[in-house]
Amino acid sequence: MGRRLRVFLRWGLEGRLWTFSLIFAFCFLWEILARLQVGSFFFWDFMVPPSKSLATFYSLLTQPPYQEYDILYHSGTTLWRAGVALMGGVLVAVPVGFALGWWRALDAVFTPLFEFLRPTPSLIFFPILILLFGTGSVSKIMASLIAVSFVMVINSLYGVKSTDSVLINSLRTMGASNADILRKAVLYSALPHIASGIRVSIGASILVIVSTEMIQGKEGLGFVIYFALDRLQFDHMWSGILATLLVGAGAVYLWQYVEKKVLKWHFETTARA
Amino acid sequence: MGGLISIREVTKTFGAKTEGLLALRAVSLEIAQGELISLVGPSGCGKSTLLNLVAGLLTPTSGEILIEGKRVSGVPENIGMVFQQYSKTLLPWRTVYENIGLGLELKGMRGKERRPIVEDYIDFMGLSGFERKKPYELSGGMQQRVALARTLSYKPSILLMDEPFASVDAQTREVLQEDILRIREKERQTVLFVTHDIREAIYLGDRAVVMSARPGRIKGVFDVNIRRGRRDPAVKATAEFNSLAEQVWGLIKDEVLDSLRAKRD
Repeated sequence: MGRRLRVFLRWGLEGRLWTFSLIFAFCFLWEILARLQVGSFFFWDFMVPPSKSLATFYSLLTQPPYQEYDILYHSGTTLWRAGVALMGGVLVAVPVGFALGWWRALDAVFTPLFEFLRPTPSLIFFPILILLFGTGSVSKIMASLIAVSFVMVINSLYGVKSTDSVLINSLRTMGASNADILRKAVLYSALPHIASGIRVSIGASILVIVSTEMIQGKEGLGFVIYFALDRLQFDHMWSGILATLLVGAGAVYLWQYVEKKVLKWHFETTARA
Repeated sequence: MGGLISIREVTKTFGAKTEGLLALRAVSLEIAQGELISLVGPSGCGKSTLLNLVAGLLTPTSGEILIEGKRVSGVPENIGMVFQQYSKTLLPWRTVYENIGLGLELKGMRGKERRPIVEDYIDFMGLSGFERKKPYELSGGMQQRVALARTLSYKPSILLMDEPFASVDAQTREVLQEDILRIREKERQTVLFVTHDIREAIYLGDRAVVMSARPGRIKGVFDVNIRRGRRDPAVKATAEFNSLAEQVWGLIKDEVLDSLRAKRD
């Protein structure tokens, strides 16, 4: 334990220190160039100095002037929409992926379909979803849920297929039924794949929700960014962008923490070499 | 006493019957209750295929396998199998204790009833103190002992071992060989032990069955009288042991050369 802590302090913390230094250096350069208005004046109108955006971000957090700029509220909206889409997508897609991975006939018919749909941006369905579910949260969540489902079906499908055949055979020799094998081996073997699917899906769900908010509606971070753009309030726009970055990074970071805790056995067996 | 396992004219082809790979050709073998048979032969001679057929994991293309007079179709109830890739047969998300309990769990035994039996085999296999460890925290030899304990715990009357020691180091192998003889003495199971190590085959087996290169056939059966009833690694140094090893090697040598040639094609 002591050794691991020392290694973390040496590399983990130092690595992170470098990352932050790099971001800081970038912002610092940006700040100076913006203040000096190097080159085109027009460019620096929307590439607002970071310090100004940060100040606006802080004021929007603490004392939003009106509902449209209540960044905490809109972050909450985007977050819950993405959260529901993520959970819904996982709940729908994992059983589907398991079924496809387990029954060869289903696999042969449906997997190519999902492989074909996976790179398709699920936003193309958004107009239809608006017609079906209206202009509220449901259509946005559905668009995001579809995106999540495509990722999760494929990932859980490969998770099931990755179960070692020697393991399955050894369970069979102990008299395991198919249900036993599914419950005691396949489920666990698929978990790391499902977990990494969720990691990807967190980004995908936020991406789609924010996009739909940009297209239509009066709530969410996507709306805030476009609302500010329409009013040419670029520091407000950057505040929205920053909030989106923080929401996404926070969610992924949280998930990675959970993943490492829950799948300790997986990381210990794969990272040892 | 009749053979507990009888293998009758078993042929196994993988893939299409006409152009498939012929793995075994007309293999017949009678194995008596409590006998330890070692199957030895060059790699790719179908030893493992034969074992998988007895385990009901594969079905013969023709011929039949009977266990206690009953034709094998599906996995027989009273078998236990130990694999060469033992580390893949252990569940990394379970502790050693939970892994050993898996066999009994699958047979439908409750946790409370399992406990004394599992503890018994933890003790018997020298795994005390490792109960709460995960398999990947153990050495290869210890992992194989976990797999053995798991298989023994539900007391199968037939033990099938598919090159169980092929991926452990030489010293560990010697220790595990003694484990096998110790297990044998305690439980008197019928054991079918696949190995490519001639000396191991002679040391462990009551009979050593030599198989030919693909398609696998039985080329010779050696009665090994050297060790019967005793358990003493010293026999490995005797002239009798060495001459027997020479005889078996004489039979296998050509097969190994054949299989080498086959691989080059």
